[in-house]
Amino acid sequence: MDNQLVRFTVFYAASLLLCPLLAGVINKVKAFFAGRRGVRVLQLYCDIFKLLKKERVHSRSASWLLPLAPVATLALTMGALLFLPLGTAGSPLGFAGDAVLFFYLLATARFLTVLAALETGSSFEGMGASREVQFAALAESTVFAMLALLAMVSGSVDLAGMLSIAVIEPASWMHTAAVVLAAAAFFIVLLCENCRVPFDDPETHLELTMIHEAMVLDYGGPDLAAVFYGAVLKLWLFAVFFVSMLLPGALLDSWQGMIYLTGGVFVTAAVVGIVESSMARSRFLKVPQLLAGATVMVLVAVMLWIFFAGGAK
Amino acid sequence: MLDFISVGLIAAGGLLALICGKKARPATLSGITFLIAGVVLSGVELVTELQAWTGKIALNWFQFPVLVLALAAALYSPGYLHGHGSDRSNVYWFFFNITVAAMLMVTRITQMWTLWSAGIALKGLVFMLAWEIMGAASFALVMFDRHSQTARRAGWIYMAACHAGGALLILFFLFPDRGLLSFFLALTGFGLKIGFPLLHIWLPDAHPAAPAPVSALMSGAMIELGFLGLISLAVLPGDMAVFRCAGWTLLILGVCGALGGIIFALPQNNLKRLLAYSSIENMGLISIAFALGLLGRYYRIPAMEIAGFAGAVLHVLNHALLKGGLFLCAGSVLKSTGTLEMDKLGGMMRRTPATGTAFTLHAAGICGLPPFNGFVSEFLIYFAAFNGITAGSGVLPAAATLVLISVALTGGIATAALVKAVGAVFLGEPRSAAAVEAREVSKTMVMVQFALFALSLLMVAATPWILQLWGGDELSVITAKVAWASVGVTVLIPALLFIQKCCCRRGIRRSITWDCGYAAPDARMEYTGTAFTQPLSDLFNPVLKVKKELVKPEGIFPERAGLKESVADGGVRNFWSPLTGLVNKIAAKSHRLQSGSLHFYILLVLLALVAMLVYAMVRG
Repeated sequence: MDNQLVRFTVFYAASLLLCPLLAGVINKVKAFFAGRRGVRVLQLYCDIFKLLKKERVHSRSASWLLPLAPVATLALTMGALLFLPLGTAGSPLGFAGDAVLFFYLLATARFLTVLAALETGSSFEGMGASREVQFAALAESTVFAMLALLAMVSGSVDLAGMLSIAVIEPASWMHTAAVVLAAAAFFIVLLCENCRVPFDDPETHLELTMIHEAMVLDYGGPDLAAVFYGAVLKLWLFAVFFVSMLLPGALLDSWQGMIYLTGGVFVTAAVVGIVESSMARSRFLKVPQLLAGATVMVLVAVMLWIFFAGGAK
Repeated sequence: MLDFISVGLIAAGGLLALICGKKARPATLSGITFLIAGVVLSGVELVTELQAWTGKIALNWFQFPVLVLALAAALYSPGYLHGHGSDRSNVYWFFFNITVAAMLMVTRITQMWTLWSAGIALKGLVFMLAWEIMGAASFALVMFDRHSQTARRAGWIYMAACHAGGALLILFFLFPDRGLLSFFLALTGFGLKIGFPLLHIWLPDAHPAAPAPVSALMSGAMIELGFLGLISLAVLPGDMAVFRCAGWTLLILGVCGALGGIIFALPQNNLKRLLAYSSIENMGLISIAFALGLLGRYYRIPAMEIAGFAGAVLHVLNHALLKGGLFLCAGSVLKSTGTLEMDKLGGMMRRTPATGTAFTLHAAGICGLPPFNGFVSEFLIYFAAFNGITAGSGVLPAAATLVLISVALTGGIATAALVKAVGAVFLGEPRSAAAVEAREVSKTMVMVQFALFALSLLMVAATPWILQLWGGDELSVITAKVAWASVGVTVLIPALLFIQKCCCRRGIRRSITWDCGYAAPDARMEYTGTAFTQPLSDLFNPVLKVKKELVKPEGIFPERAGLKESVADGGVRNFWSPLTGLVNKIAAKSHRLQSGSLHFYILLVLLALVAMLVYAMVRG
């Protein structure tokens, strides 16, 4: 138990330190596909330190929400990271039903970000905010459908039990099929929530095509540093969730397990880079179809599980 | 016993206020003092009964929303009425006190139902007396702004709904033992008060028309009394068959109500109408929670049963505090600016910061976001559904999955609707002169708004203790962890703010919105509330059927352009309007019977006599 606490603390600290590398990995992969050398892998660290030294400029239209939002979002994401399980024993703070708390902490972060975007009284922020809430509402239903499927497959209601399942289960092909569908749906949600192609293009500088980037147009200096860091920490969070779903829980119970998990996270980042390089951002009117399709995919898996695997374990 | 004394006191206060005539001060004083005395007495009785409630969820808890909101609305009212009808304060306080007294009477009778050894007819009679007085007095309050056409129409629809509900309930009390028939009579009768789908049409009109403290009282306490009646009088005394039927019916009604309510909240332009639809959504969530509890009892899954019932009653309490606060803040907005149209407001956070902050905090709570109390009750609903998935068999896991998806989607859309409300009213730049000249309301009103929020925060800490009282020890431990997580995350925010302040050496500078370099921002350029929810409204347009009046810009130098959107209520448009149209058509056709010709009437009398003769011959 003590060993578990130590491992969790080390992984938490490693997450906080290593997450800016994810942005570097994605950029390098995209540069490779584009035939460029790309920026350094450590570029985001340099950007954050540069921004911390700059001045904070706030809009005169804003009140207390605008200065609060970047740091509060970061705090909520760090809080959600505390509940992410590591192996079968889970997080030391875990409890039955903590999956709900995990996703709702991220929802609070989004609530604050969107409100701060509306504070500036600018059309671009308003546009980004309105699209963000639309995608988030639909992504929430996909996430909870996936959680329902995980609860059915694993038979437990806490995150540790839900993520202890592995994608390969020799005894039951239905199990593998269900987890593959859940993981695919979650990958789509990962792309949506972290503002990646095909939902949003983080590289674009055309205001009409931005969502997340549009919401943070009026931040500068330490605020923007907190926003960048919070965004990449959220990507780390989702990537760890995704990899934990695919790897068996027993594998992650040891120190080598942490290495596997970190490796898996970087592989996920590379996959995100490949996805970003191989497709264009989809039209805004098609995005709800994409998310609804992900929900339907999970519902199909639920139906198959109920009919062929005889309901919950 | 103290309850009856307090009911009498409050009613006496109302009568005393009425005879005070046109003078506002004595009417207000007599109304408020007697109300406070009554509320304190009832509260004391409620608290002393605490020891008797261990191990089960007692119905007495439904009195808390009534007492707290009655007190809050009463303290808020004098400031609200100032300049808004304070010359008719005597009438206001009379009907307010009568409403509160009737609500207390309803709760007390329901609690005493099993202890009172009288026939169902007598019990039903006393209950219906209190119920109808509650409806009639609140009708008078809804029509308080009697010169307004919308208020009169809203009051009329509310009266019709109250009477229809009352008629159905009288039928229920006449036939209490007919199993499913009795259940459906009670469902429709109480459902007209709760605001189930199709029976909800009075809500979106009545809540905006009523004065803000009355809206808060109605939305926070009165409609929940429908659940009190339904669950304690119609469902719990029944047998397992009633539980199963009630469970599935409430589940379907809850999902439809929650999704339908919040989808219709999206395109609303009137702030209080948006909050009214949000109330319908929350009643749907409470319905889902009760349904999960009943299904847990039927299918014998204890974790689901206790989580469902506990989540339902906790959501009643949390919703009362949060929605009460939201309506009171909306009332403050109306007092400050004179309008509730969100597309004409904006930038109020810098002009009325206290109301703005209170509204934002309450809105975050009602969306079910941690670290506030709305999250705890939604968490229990999710927990019940998860237990249904893992421990259930047959169709229960599939149903629980659909419940999970619906509640998650509802939460996401609710966030969109409430962010629209906060953003359009308080954030950005003011869109009209009314918003520019807004001034903060009186200190009492602001303090009441914040007091309700303080109580909400107290609920987060009190929930583990309450759950322990209800016998849900495992849930108590879990909600204690949720409460600690909320506290931890809330503490982390100032810590990080402090670190950021230390990192940043150069201070904060204020400037105009950068907006990608456009140096002359104007209030007309910012997103309106309607524009903000337009993607979601367009997505749900098959349900909403938004009517757009578009004036396109024409020519090279266009002079006029505009877009006006309006949404008719779904229940009215799809069900009630066609139904009343059909009834009118049939009535018009039967108008031919009233031809005015004497010969035709004599023919009808002859036909009736012949029919009676034939009947007597056949029977004899």
